[in-house]
Amino acid sequence: MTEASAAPTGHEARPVDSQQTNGDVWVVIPLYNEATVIASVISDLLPSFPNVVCIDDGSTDGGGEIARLAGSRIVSHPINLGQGAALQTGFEYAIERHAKYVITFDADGQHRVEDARAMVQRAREEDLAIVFGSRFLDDRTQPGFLKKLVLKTAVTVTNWTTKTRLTDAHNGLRVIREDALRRIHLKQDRMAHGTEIIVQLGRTGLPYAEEPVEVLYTEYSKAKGQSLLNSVNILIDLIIR
Amino acid sequence: MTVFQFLLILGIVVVATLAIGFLRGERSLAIKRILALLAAFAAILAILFPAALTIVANFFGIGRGADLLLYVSIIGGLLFAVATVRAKARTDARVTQLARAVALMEARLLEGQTSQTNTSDGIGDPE
Repeated sequence: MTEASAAPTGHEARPVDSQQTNGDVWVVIPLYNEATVIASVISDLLPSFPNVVCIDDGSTDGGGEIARLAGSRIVSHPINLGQGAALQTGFEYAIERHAKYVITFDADGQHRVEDARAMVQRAREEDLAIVFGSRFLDDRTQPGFLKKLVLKTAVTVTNWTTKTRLTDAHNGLRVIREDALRRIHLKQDRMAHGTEIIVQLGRTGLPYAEEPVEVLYTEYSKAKGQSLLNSVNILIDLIIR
Repeated sequence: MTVFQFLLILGIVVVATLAIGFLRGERSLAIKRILALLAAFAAILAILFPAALTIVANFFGIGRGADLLLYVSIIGGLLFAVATVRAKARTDARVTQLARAVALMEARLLEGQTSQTNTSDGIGDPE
């Protein structure tokens, strides 16, 4: 956040296999028409995480090129496939490059890099395969009443249908270790992948934890973010699987 | 035979020909073809002898042959819709895999180029 001036310069040497510099971590960002914010998201991430890959899911606003110039690797879907498909592409990309941990991070700037750092550190220290971000473990995040109601309903249904016990099922910030990553095969292209990931991770039986994170509801993400109608989709997707 | 009966038979023949031509698959193909031929044959019979359809309908406890036809076509329509949705889902999944493979291959190629010009980059090794 504060190191935004430490601008990255592209594809020069990056440290590998170093826990100190998070060289064994890949940040996976599904990118779809977020050209106005993606550059600052990437330049905030790069000082902490040298390996950032954006999965450009058929953006039509030139966001992929902007992300490349900001210092991210780019994988471009030739056509729009949906966020879940973009994440799965990112996972396969990261596995190919021998990532030990993958962070999933939203392109619209609603996550904080500090939270991601803390989650990776916790995964290392406590030997966790998955760390989920949750906006409901403390009161920093202020979603609207309706949004909160929908999200809490979604997570309750998710907990019913999976073996996990979570407080926030649709948070885009997650840390996933390589062994868990290999067992994820997201098939649902559209939005319910938030559930699909949890179902599949729950089946692995690997150790997981939730970390309190703050979700920044900026004017941009409010204007652009999931509408309540989209939340209805999440609920219906949960029931019809 | 009325003109309308003739038109109906013509329609059935066209549909059956198209269906047999388009049905693909290896083991089930012959069965599907036989079923399609039987359906076409039954349809032609029903057109020529509407009374026979009413007899069949009565056997199933339905008053008129036309009603039986309606029910059967509703079921047929629903089956078709479900089959189409399933086929589309399979196609979508394949398109996703194909697009992902293309995207990852493109990334490997691009990173292979940059790591040739910059040998200190140890990350972009393709499998």
